[in-house]
Amino acid sequence: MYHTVTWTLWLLACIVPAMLTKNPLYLVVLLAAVMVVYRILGGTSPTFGSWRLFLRMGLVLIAFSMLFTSLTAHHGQTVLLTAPSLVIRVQGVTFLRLGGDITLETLVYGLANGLNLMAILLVFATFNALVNHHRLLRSIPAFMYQTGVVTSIAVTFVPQLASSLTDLREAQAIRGHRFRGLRDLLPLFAPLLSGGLEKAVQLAESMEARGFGEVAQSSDRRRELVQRTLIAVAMFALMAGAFIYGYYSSRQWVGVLITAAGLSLLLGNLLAMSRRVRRSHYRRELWLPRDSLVSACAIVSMAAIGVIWLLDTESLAFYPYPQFTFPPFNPLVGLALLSAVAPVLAAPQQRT
Amino acid sequence: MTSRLGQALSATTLAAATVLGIWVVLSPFISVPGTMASSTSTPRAQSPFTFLVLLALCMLVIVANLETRRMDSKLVAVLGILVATNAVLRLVPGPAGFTAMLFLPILCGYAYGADFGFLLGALSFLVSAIVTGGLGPWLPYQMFSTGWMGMASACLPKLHRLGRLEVVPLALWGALLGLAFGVIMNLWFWPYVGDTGQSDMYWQPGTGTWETLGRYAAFYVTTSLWWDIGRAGGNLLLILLFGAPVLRLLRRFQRRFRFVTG
Amino acid sequence: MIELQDVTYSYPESESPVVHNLSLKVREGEFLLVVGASGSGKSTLLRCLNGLVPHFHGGVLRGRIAVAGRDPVAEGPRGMSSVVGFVIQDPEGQFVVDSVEEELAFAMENHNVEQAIMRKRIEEVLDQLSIAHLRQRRVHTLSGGEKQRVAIASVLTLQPKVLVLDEPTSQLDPQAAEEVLTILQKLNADLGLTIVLAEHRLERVVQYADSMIYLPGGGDAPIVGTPEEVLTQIDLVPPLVQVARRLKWQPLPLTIKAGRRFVPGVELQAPAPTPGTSRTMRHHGTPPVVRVSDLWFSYNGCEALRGVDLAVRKGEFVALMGRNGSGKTTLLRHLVGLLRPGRGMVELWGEDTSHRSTEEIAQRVGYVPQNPGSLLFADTLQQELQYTLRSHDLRGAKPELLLRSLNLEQYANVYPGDLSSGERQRAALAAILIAEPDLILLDEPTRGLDYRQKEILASFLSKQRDEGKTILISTHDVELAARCADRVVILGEGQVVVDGPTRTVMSESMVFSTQINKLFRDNRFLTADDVLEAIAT
Repeated sequence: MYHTVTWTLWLLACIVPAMLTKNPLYLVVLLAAVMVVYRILGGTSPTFGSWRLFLRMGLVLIAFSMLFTSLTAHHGQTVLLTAPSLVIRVQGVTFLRLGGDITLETLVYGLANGLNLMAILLVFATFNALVNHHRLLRSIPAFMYQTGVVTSIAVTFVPQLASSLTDLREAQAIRGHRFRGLRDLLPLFAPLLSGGLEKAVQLAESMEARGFGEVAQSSDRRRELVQRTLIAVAMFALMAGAFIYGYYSSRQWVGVLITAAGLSLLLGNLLAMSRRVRRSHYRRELWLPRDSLVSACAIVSMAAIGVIWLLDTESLAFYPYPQFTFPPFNPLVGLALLSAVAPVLAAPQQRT
Repeated sequence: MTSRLGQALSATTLAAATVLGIWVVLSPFISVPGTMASSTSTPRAQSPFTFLVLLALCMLVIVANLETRRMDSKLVAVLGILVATNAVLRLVPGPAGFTAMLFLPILCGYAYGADFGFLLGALSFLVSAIVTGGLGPWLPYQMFSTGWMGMASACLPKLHRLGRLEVVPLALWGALLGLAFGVIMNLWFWPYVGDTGQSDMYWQPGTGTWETLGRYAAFYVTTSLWWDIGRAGGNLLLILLFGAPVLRLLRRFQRRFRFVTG
Repeated sequence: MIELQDVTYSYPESESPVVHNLSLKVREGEFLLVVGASGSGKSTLLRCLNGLVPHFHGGVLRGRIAVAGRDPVAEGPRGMSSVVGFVIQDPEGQFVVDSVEEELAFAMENHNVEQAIMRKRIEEVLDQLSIAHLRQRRVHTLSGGEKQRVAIASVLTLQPKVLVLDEPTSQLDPQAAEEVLTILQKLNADLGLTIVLAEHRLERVVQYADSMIYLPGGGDAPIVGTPEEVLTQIDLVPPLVQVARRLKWQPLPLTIKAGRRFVPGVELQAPAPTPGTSRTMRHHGTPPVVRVSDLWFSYNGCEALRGVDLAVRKGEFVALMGRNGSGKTTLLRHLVGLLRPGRGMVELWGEDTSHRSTEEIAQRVGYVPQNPGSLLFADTLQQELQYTLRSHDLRGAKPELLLRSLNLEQYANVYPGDLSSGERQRAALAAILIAEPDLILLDEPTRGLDYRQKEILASFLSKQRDEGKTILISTHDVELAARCADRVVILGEGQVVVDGPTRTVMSESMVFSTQINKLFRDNRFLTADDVLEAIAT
């Protein structure tokens, strides 16, 4: 019911804070907002099963995280209980210490970590339930249209090939084929592959007969070299910038600058490539006022959180060591996170 | 097709992307004081956010580099259908961790080149996710690692001369990559469940790294070692058993239809 | 509109030209039918028209070609795509996007057509081909006929002047084929679109064609002319035309309606038909090879089989016929153990099959699925046969005999992928029948075969039956059933509607009847051979 781009922006607006903070309070707010969206807008979708799966996965991971962290990390001052410990030493260096004091801090930290993951998982699960995947595929930018066509062909042919596989299994069974080991997969796999390749030739004929592909031009060589050079330079800039940022704490701004330069070079080149592509794009989706509303909401909340993070990185962090203290709560951040329910508020009156 | 210079540029871009990608993936171990505690003294956990963005950028660069070249319809169609075939192979059942989705990108990368291998590997997981309606946050990691496997397999020396033994080194390579896949995928989960945020340990480089490694090793053994052995073993067997007929098929097809990949 | 002058072409791998000094003229608005045996160059001729030959397939092309004033050799397929629309045989193999509407837009996107015009043309094309109700559908949920119509629609969005179709109906059942051919005829008649169609099953389409070209293959000179002219000169003709030629009917009738005029004037003597063949009486004492009792089966909530009773004796050749979805394939799959009955029983050789696994049943039952060529995976045909033998733990079978009876002995060491489609089908047949099953089940065995290949298959199957095998085929091909089958069972909505000797069933049916029978309305005459024999006496 919303445009694909709207949903993508919503996804980003939920993911970005989830990646920036481990504060359990914020994460709970986000989780609540996302669950509300799912319940109201997507509860009837056929992917309900997989949503449950994501939920279960998240809970399991929370438990595992709490357990693992409390057993292997040994920090924090509030000791809850003491378990037997196991130490592995290699050449005098302590390699691993299991067990020992179980502290509140480690448990809380494990909980925060797990919640973080669960929030991310559920945001994605909701996104999956609410977005139309085929439309998503059609939203690939113009400069990579060839990859887009490949992906589209693949998605189109999966049902066919899956049923070919079933048919092959039956047909070979009737020839006496028995699945006794991996080797017996060959009579299934080889025909699938060779049949697929032959279909590909026919498909290619059909595509060319409908005008697919660019006409070769004399300036192609030069253009290709120029683009590749620009991309290579941009890539090196990204790499260099990341390393400098990581390894030279005193000159981090240099790293950021170089990375930004590389990024803008890359994006500029991609834009030029997109403009060069002589292909139109059939758009079926309409952009409605409510799309603008929800998108604006998403962008604003992302910007707000981004600004808060840049100004004072500490405010989003949560670090229970060495002594557990109640996590801080900035109402602004909370509001930004709560705005994830925007799709529900702007949704049209639904017939239930 | 592409000139020598164009190919060289391509190779450097891919190499740089690989280096950055590996750095990102191994970040829990090799990150150094600079990334944390910039101005304040309180150590914090690293943000996986920047690293994920970097990984996505690496993939974007690889795809953009690929797209500078005009792919003809045969290449697009064959890639599309092979990606679909690989996505369908997800349905093939097997013991813990076994996946039939890795051996085809390796073989195709070896036979058809880096671009082909990368797209086959990366897009298989994307298509698989789309078709099952399950795009997950681990998708970029899956895509990058499988794509990289396909890409790297193109760098293997061409071993036609070995005849029937050609598949043996390929099978070993496949097993190695199978293990690597598991290690990388686990590193995705690591910052969320295993990381204990003891960045102050990094101040003493020696112990810090070792202790982190040790913790990661424990995490790995408890969660996925068996899984990865299943996957690595599966790759080994699949390539040993099917590598020869598949390579024959791919090469025969290339000859017959004048299929240009590089 | 289309002009070919002395066109000669050979594929890159071969030395002999597939098309030699071919000249052809097609007027605007004409409906041209291209016929010839497999491998005779039909596909090549069609691909010359839009530049796929030589651009896509390589090779050397000599001669001059002009289509709508443009040169395909110079412009290539992309350049010609706005003038020539090309549709291939496989309904499933030409879709790039999984959505009908977006697939229709694909061709226009390639040509950078703007959004407004794209929308307009899509609406037009949806109406022209009566597929507006399919607009929101996912392509993989469509039936074969619907897919082909969408494929035709997607090339029509570019408003081409010529529509070229390479055997578009050979993978379709008769109803779907009918839909597609009717649409083509409508496009030709209402819009004046020039159509070039390659087709095997002439009887469906020959009445629509304005002109016809027959390619004998091997680079020999083609025969061009009106359908009547060409059909008098060639071998591969529908039964009606065979009889008409023999009886020297002028002008040559192409449809039943045209042929009826001549029937009263024909005097034929033939003995009264025997009520049932004596073959079936021979084995009356033994239990039936197949006995299906009150079989019920449903899947996905719909009842595919509803109380089917069937008994087949040794040495019988039974044809299962019926509409799509009437349960024919489902019944066959029960007989080989791929499906298990919901209710009722399936017995083979007197034994209940519900306790047997598919592999065990397959020891005595051979099942040839649709498009069996897709089964082949070995490096040579010989190895393919060996594989079946090994899987069944059989030794000492003689593959050479089998290959010879299928005209495949020269291909024993050939990679099956290099064979033509008809040969590949027979190769798959050999691979399954090498195990010498006593009961042979075939699902649509003649789909996509031309008349000659059909005849080879039909005589092979008849010979198998004469050797004592029991054969059950599920088919839409009435002519095949008339040629080979002793008995016809018609299924409708999961139930047996008619079950009786071929002659009786066909002469009493309006739909499941051969051309000759519909023409003469006499149950003595079912196939062209019946009539030709009666003339001789």
